Amino acid sequence: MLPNTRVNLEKLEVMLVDDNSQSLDILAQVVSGFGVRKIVRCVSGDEARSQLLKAAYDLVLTDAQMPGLDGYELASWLRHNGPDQNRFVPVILFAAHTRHSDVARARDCGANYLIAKPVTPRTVLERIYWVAREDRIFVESDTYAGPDRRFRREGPPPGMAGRRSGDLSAAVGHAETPNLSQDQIDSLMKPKKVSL
Amino acid sequence: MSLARRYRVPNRLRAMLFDGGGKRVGEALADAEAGLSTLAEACETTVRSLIVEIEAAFGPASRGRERSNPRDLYDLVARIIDSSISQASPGLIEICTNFCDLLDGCQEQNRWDWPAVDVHIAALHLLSVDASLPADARLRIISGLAQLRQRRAEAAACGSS
Repeated sequence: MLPNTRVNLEKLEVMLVDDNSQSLDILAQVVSGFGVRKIVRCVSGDEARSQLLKAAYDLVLTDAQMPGLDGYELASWLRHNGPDQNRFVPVILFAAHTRHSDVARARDCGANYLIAKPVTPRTVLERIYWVAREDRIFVESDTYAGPDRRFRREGPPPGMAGRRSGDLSAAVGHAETPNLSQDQIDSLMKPKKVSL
Repeated sequence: MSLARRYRVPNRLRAMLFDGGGKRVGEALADAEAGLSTLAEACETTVRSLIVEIEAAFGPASRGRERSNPRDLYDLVARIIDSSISQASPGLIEICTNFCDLLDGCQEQNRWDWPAVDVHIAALHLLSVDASLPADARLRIISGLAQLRQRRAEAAACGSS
């Protein structure tokens, strides 16, 4: 994400959920700064659920740890039982204290990302950008519904056999073709005029 | 065995984000930072009042703290992180994170470690009252608390084995 990259968040309908009103203010200031105009603020998971049943959203930013229906449960409900217009909406969780178990819970509830508080504009925009850029498959089973949790394709851990057909081999091996020369690299990178 | 269905879903966010128009990333970040700066004072006030509340309810001078639940203190410390704007007070978040780890351990073991709690409360107090504390002093406090956490983790591992 380069400083000159252009992003348009003006038309996004964003839902913010947090039981702490100050935390909600912080998040609202951040997304307003990005140019988001339509922001719906909810102070509990239950309020968010009832709003999600009424209207479609493009992004949900929710605190993970809340009394009542928490962020993990909200994301899980959306993925398994949410209304059609919001079932696949990107969900980004925020947590003040990110224990190992919380990270695992965030991954398994169907959320797209988990961000550790305190909120920084760069991290939030970067994750929104990642969600927009990525091409993750949606997976649905009895125990999980949400974006593919194994999307990095870094291959199986060393010494382990891959479990899916697209897994990369752990061994890099020897190069089969010579390295590209600098000229070849430049010719691939250089912008060219296109004649129409 | 559960059967998994895999399918592509439309990425509405992508269609909107790269629709043209909008702002450059640098500009969007600067605007967001400017918006956050309007909340800085209110956030600092909240953080300071939370630290005062923690000292009053769980500090060495508080009465009956032995009967309290580590979860209540955990919630207060987590609220400091919730209400903080990054870099508002360097080191404060690291101390709170360490403190949350400590209180997590206390909840699991169902017993307080008062000397460790007291040293964290003292560190929070120090950072909140002395804004001029030099960076290396803040670093020493944080590394001291990290060592304490490490020792506790090692002791817990020895106790469980």
